[in-house]
Amino acid sequence: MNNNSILILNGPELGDLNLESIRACCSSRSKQPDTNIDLRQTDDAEVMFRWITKDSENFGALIINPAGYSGASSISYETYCSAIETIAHLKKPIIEVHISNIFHPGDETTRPLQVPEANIGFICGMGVQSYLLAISAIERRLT
Amino acid sequence: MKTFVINGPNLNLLGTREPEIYGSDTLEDIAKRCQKLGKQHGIEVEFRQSNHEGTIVDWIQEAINKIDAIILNAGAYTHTSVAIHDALRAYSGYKIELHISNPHLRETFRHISYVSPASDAVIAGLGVNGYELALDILPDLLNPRK
Repeated sequence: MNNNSILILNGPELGDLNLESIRACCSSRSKQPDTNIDLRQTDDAEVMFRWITKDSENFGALIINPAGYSGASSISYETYCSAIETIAHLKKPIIEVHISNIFHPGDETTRPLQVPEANIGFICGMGVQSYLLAISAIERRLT
Repeated sequence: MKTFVINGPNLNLLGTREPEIYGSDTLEDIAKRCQKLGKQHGIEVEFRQSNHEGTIVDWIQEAINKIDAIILNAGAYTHTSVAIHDALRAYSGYKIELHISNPHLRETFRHISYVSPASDAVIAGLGVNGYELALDILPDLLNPRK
């Protein structure tokens, strides 16, 4: 298992930023050359659940953007919470990121993940920089 | 570039109060590291703490038109203070809400924040490292590189 590896998972409806712009930003700015980043996106609840509960075992840390669990999304808030609850005992760093500030008026449905026994960092409102800050935070803890 | 790092109630007890949640670093330790990091980034860091709501309101008002950014850990006033919310709304610089732990994983009375809707960005649950991480990314947030 590569401890310096980070799995970055994105739900549906990433908004203005597409996966490629996030990928470009993450790969150009990672400070640790040996940090391995695997960036993924899905609209499918079963795939997301499997990535969180199974695939994350092979990574040192998890960054998750549970985008779009509101509205017409196929992935529910409960899916994210229960999947993370399943792996919380592994004590790996987990950080929830959002591109926009989900607390601004107009976004009444997106709310932070609540998994009581888990230790989840939270970053929102910095655009694509939210991901870079999450990567920096994890690199501090993993090294 | 100038920034205020403003800390609210009980953060003066950092290092001794519930270290299993907040860690063993004191606020002075964090302040010193922030000053050092600020120098590296060319940011003038003014690091403050108060247990008094009105003092925090005064400091936010003091920043208006003078300070480029505020990093605010309002402590428990986060969940109660409309006055701090209003002061933040009056301040047009960049605002980061900061918490050492993640309030959304704790008691339900910590799930409401009056600071979040009035801030640009939120950082929580990254431990005391959150302060330095916020300062690290601040230049990019104020001058985004395209």
